[in-house]
This record gives sequence, structure tokens and C-alpha cells, in this order.
Amino acid sequence: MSFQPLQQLASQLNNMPIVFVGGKGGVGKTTTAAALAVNFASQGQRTLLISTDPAHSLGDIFSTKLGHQKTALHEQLDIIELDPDIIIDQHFAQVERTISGYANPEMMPKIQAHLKLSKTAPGAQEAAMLESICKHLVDAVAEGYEHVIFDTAPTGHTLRLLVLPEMMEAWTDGLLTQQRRQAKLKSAADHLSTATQKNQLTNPFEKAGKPDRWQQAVEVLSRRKQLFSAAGNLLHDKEKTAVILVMTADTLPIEETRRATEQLKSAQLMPAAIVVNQLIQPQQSDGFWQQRATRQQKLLAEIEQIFSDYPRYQMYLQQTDIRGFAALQAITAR
Amino acid sequence: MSQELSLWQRFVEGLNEFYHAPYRQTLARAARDEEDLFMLLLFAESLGIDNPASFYTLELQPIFLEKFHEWHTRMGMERCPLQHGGCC
Repeated sequence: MSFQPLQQLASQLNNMPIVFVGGKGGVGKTTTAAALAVNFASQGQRTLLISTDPAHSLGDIFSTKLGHQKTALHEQLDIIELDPDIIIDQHFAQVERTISGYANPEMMPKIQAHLKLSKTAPGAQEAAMLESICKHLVDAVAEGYEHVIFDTAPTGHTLRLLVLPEMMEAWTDGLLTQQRRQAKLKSAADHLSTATQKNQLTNPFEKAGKPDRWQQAVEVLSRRKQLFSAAGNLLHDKEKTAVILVMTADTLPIEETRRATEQLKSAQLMPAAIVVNQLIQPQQSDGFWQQRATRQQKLLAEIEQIFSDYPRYQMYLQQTDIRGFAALQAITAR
Repeated sequence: MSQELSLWQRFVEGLNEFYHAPYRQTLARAARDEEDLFMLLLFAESLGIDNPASFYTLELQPIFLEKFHEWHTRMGMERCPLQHGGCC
């Protein structure tokens, strides 16, 4: 069977702790992610479903108001809708707290102005969101969830997760090594001029003695670097993370999914499966719909060829919108 | 403590000067070179050279500001050369 029912995807992912479900808007990635989550939860596997979608599609699907705090939808299913505004506020509040621990108080207004600029810079929300995703990833595994599902594909910064720890280290060490070396050099130079004022010769290479002012900042950065390291390792472990790409049998989505696949591969992340959604029955009674069905079948053959390397699954278009736990359960029941 | 240095102390002081004076300048220059390397990093940042790590190292912003201020002061610019915000 070239395209298997979604039930089989749930089986394929039965022991997969982390799942990303990606795809362009409207193809059904949120529905797919929710269907998988409901399937796992129904089997008694504790699952966490996380949405980064600003449009709150997940809340719509479950007909529940979801939020930044965990909502227990079912005995085995918790859901979070990450709020990018809360996340970025929290990040900058913490940065400011850390900074005020060592910065010159007179500089604080200037520093705050700079931070405000950084906060509204393009890419800032995405970067803060990535850190939040990594935290949830690492925490969820530690908290004993059998599955963590994201209704988003790894994109942008996520693809650079592997190099982030290195770059942070290079940047931080480069800056602070300077500071410390300078302090040491300055101290050595000072010692050279003051040595004569003392009764005994002092050792100009003696360590300064007092701890770095930036020690707290270094600790925060070190923890963040470790977070990215841990998350990067999880993400790139094929036994731990699966990336599912959802599409419809249309020309543009096929092209977009092909591009997404290339992008993931170049970041050393192999898609684990392809899902084709919104299919209609090949035999239609109406002329108009028969044309569309025939076209879909033709495109399905193309998809089979292009994505021959990947397990492929299919989802059929429903008569009504899929809403609620029971409806989602039904998708993987067949 | 006696104001007057003994002959021995004066001798030691002279000896120290003899040994240490040449190195004082070298060390001071080395410190300045380190600063210039830092400034290179900073300008690469402001020129938009891609650094994915910069958002995640904002805790080090004050160090940038301090060094930048020291630098432009040393370069003889009284006020901050940056148009918006900056250090002065």
C-alpha cells in the first residue's frame, strides 16, 4: 500500500518521544498533531501537545480556551498554547535582572534602551520562542511524558541549534577572556608601578583575588548554552525526534514540502514521514468533483515518486470540521 | 612608617625601575590591542554580520557599552558616535 492510513503513522511513532508536525498554513498540521496526541493519550500514554500557532487553531479544534499554562484536556493529555508575547517579556525581564546584578547603575537607562531595541528587532520573538521550545522539550522528557508533540516544523533558528552552543561559547569567551586578560594586564602594569612602594617585591602575575563581576551573567549564559546542547542532541537523535511533514495534493504544497525536506536534510534532520491530507475518494458521482479527484490521483502518483524515500500516509477530507476529542479519535480509529 | 627611604630601599627601587620600566609600556599596549580586537567583533555585529548567538548573550550588553565608551573616549571623540542611544 503506497499511502497508509494515519493509524499506521501513530504506530510508527508509538515509541517516539518527540514529534514535530510541520506544513504550510491550512494543510492540516494542527489537526494531524492533535489526532496523534489523542491517539497516544487514548492508549494511556502521557502526552504533551504544544502549539506555537498565534492563531490558536488548537483551541479551536478542541473547542476549549487554551493558554500559556498547561491545560489538562484528558487524563493523559496536557496542552499548551505558547504565547510569544509572554515568552519574550519573560526573557527580557530575566536579562535585565541579571544585568542589574553587575552593571554600573548610572548605565542602566542606556542599557534598558538598548534592550528595548533588541526586544523589538526582527527575529527576536522567534529566538525567544526557540529557547522556550527547548526548555519544554528538555523538561517534558524529564517530567515523564511519553510523547511531546509540536504543531510546528523546526525552522529558522531551530535548524541552527547544533551550532548555537559553540557560537555562544566563542562569543562569550571572546568577550570575557578579553576582560579578564585586560584586568590581569592592567593589574600587572599597576603592580609594576606600585611594586617599588612596597617593602617587598610583589608577584605581578598573582591572581586578582576578587571574583568576576560578571560571574552571575556567565552562569546564566552557561545554563542557556547547556540547554541548547541538550535540546540539540535530542532533536538530532532519530530515536528521540521525528519530523512529520503534512501537505495536500496540490502543486504548491508539493513544491513547498520538497523544499522543506531539503532544508531539513541540510540541517541533518531527516523527515520521518509525509502525510497527504484533504484527499477525496477517487470515484465521484459529480463531473466537477470527478475532475478534481482524478487530478488528485495524478498528483498522488507524483508525490509517491518525489517522496519515495519516506513513509507516506493519507488523510481524507471530512464532511464537517473536526472538532473535539471524539472526532479526533475517529481519525486514527480506522 | 619612616618617610626617609634607606639606602637599601632606594637601591631596590632603582633596580625595579630598571627591570620593569620597559615592560610597563608593552603591557599597556597589549591591553589596548585586546580592546581593538573587541571593537572589531563589535563592529562586525553592527554591520549585520550574522551572529546567531547575539540574541542569547544579551546579558553581556553592559560590557559592550562600557568598552564602547572607553574606546570612543580613547579615540578622542567626546560624545558617543552612535546616533540613537549609546553611552553618552
